[in-house]
Amino acid sequence: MSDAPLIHVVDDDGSQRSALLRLLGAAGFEARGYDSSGEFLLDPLPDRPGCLLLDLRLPGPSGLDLQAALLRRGVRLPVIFLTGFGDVTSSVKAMKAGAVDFLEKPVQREALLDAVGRALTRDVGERAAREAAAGLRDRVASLSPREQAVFDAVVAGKLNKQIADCLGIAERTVKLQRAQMMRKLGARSAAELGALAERLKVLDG
Amino acid sequence: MTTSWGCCRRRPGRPSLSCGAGEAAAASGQGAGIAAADLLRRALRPARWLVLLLLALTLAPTAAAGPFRAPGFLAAHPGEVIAAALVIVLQGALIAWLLAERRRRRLAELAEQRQRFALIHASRVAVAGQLTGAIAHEINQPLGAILCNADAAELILEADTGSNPARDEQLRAIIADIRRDDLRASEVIRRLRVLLERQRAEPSLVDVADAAVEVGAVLRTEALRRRQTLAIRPPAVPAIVMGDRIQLQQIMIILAINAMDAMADAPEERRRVVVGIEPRGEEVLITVADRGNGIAAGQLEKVFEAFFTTKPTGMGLGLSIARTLAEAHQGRILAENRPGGGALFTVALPAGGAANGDATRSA
Repeated sequence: MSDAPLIHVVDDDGSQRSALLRLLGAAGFEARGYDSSGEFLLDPLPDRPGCLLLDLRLPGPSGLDLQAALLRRGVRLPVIFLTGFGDVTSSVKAMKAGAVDFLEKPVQREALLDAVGRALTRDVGERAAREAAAGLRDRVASLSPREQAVFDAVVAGKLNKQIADCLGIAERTVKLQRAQMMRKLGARSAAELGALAERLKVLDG
Repeated sequence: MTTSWGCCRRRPGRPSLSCGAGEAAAASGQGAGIAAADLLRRALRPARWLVLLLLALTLAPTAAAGPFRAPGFLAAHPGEVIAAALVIVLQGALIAWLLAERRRRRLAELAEQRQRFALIHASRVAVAGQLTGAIAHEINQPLGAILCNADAAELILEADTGSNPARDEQLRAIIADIRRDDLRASEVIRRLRVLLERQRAEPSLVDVADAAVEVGAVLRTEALRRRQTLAIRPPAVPAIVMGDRIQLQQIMIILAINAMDAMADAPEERRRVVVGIEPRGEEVLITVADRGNGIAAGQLEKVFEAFFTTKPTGMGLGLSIARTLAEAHQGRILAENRPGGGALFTVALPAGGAANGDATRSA
């Protein structure tokens, strides 16, 4: 996995596409071009930060169709739309579906590079958050059922004695499992455990 | 005799033109003279009334001047003179009226021609108006590419100020692309200007297939914008007709946009307009087929009437102008429904310059 960002450009107009690739290249980015939504989908997406510069009107599936398809597949690549027809309905749709920006052609260099910068920052941030979330989930998944039950009870604010009564086990055992659970989750206090539970709740939606 | 006939002094060539035959014979006493006078009279009979009038006018003052003169012609034949004058006045009036009428008709024809021309032009402007979105896109596209290329060149120059062959090569490629895109943008504008130009129809030999391919280029982006497919099916051989290239293209554009309108609500995979050109016998057929809702049975003829429309925002002029243009080319236009849904419009134009298509293929 490389950390250098890769920018994907989908535009059916050959000269526009090559000019964009050239500009991104000159600005120091690595970029790849595709002339249709289908071609982009067929190409395996490498696991590295990036963003998608997407023409709104494409022959075959449109830019909006591609954006929707990516969302359905859970691909969280930030999308910047480029369009020759500044039409309000489409831009609203695109932004609602989470586009970073909606740029009108001909696009100014500053506007384009600024949008690309924001998209990459967002992608790097989201990837980090996703990784952290995945790690957290892994850690929660590694708890035994008993430890899981203790975790839920501690988060709910119960005392060790109450937990022991509830689960029908000795308080000593509860203490032991609680320590084990906290070690597994990497939490040092009950407050940290609470914050962790909060984040899990957010992730699970 | 010489004293009493003023006219004889003045017009010696016509001595007995208007006097009674007996009197003339008695005066001259010569058979040959009578025969000559007779001949002349016959030859000049059609103009007799006119001459009579002239004589009367000439003699009138003379008759009044001398108290002993023979009565003047006017006094002798007042009825004929008045009748002749009346006829001449009436004829003059009639001629004047006919001339005025002819002039009025010509003016009216000119005005009608001008109006028809203005209407045809207005329809062309309206079509261009419908296409503004597509045209803007078509011009924006190369402009966008030019801007990106220029920006890229600037960045390249900023990053590397020294001279190196790879960089120069890249810059040269950028400049070549900029030039190409610039030409592409001006080509769009040229096409639009040709479509909008207010010019008289100029009949020449036109290759309809070639004209149709150009229509395809004009409408390609509009079709893309509407998420429809536009297919132009030109024949392998040129399809030559005598006519005005732009008007023929106008017919095709009207029909193609009409077809796209008809399929606005159709499922996306059915939204396909096919424009076919086919030389058939003495005719060249232009067909425009769609997969819309078709035309209600009772309205197949009616669709060509002015101000007939089924569209919420239509003026009902497009198809009537298409028919006017087709008829101006001695052609016909008809509408029918297709099996499987949709409408088919066919324009049949008399083939022109037959058999020498290659030589007359117009640019």
